Amino acid sequence: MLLIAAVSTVLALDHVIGSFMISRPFISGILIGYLMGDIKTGLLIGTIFELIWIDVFPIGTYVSPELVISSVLSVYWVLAQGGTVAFHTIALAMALAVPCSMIFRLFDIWNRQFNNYLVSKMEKKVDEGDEGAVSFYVYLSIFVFALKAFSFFVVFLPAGNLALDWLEGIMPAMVKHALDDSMIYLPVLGLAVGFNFFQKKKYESN
Amino acid sequence: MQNAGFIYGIMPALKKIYPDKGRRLEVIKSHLEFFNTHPYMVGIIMGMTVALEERAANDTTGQASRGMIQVSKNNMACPLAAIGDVFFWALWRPMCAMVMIFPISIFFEKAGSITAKVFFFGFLIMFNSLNFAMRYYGVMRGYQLKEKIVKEISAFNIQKIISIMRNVGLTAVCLAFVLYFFIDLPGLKEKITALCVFVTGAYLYRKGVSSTTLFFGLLLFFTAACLMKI
Repeated sequence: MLLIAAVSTVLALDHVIGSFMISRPFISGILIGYLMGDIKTGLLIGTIFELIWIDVFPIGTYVSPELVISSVLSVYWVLAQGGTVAFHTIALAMALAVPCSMIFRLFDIWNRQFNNYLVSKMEKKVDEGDEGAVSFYVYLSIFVFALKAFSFFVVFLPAGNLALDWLEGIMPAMVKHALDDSMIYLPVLGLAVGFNFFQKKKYESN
Repeated sequence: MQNAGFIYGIMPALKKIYPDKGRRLEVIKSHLEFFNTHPYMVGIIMGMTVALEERAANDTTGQASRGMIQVSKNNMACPLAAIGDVFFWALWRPMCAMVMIFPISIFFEKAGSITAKVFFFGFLIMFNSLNFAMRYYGVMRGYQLKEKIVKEISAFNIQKIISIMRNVGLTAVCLAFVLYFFIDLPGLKEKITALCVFVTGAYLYRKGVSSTTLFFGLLLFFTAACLMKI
């Protein structure tokens, strides 16, 4: 679990260092799936997240839903159950992971506010003649982000696992059957979103 | 914190241009102003700023050159952020993802480490080829052309590229749907339901319903339908 938390922290750091897109859900899904021994499930979950939320991107100060969190959590929760992976388990894990990723967004907003505080401290230090403060506070902000992400995963990976276990236990067979069915149509819904997204000439001037 | 990141990025150049610590500190302070742009486009501003700093360091009048640096930096930041957001976030990234995702239906049943590696590295290489090129050439061209870089950017037919990327993405979505429709949906009932989901999903999305609402809506609809034994 700590290895998954550490790898996921590196994936989440993509927003801070480089933006090489290793934080895209189907990339993180494949990676966590590989580490947990089931690439196929990781690929499936990652692809569904990628398709349905294809229109989500960070612009300016807008904090987009953390798809890396949703995909990492759901792939881990599903595969940590062991045994044959059922479609309803995947649907349930995904439904549980989306609100968790929104909690992470809240932490992210606090993190950004804390960064403003770090910048004001850095400015003060530079005013005092310490030019090394620039690199120190840049590294400190990266460390704070990594610590936040790692702590989040350490808490939410096992907690969500327990929640998923409990929900699976109390869920009526009929609801499980409904979730099994809905999994077939989630990629279709994602393609409908993608179809509309690419059809819009929003960014083209006529 | 982009101002801190910006200074961190140009710090090695500043140390070379201003060997005197006192003068360098004044320059660093001047770059502490609010700064925000697109991470892939920032290289252009960095290259330009370093070139202008070199010019300012050799300028005897001083003040005029410093003011010029701040004005050029701020004037470039917003338009480049807008271009970067549209080009990289809104089109290049989703297009690369769709191009890699669309054949998944063909390979999914046999998805093993090799197929996954193709999707994994295929996307990363495709996306980052432009990302790295933009970062490297951005710095170089910004440094060489200084303020004249604006002319070079405006000479690009970005509208045409945007239109091509949008059409490639749309084609990939249509191909993915056709493949999923014929390979992954077993019976007539599933095919009809998929068409209904696609049309309803597309209609609701166009009406402004968010992806998150559509996701939970679909799960709830199927649960409710199953409970009512439709």
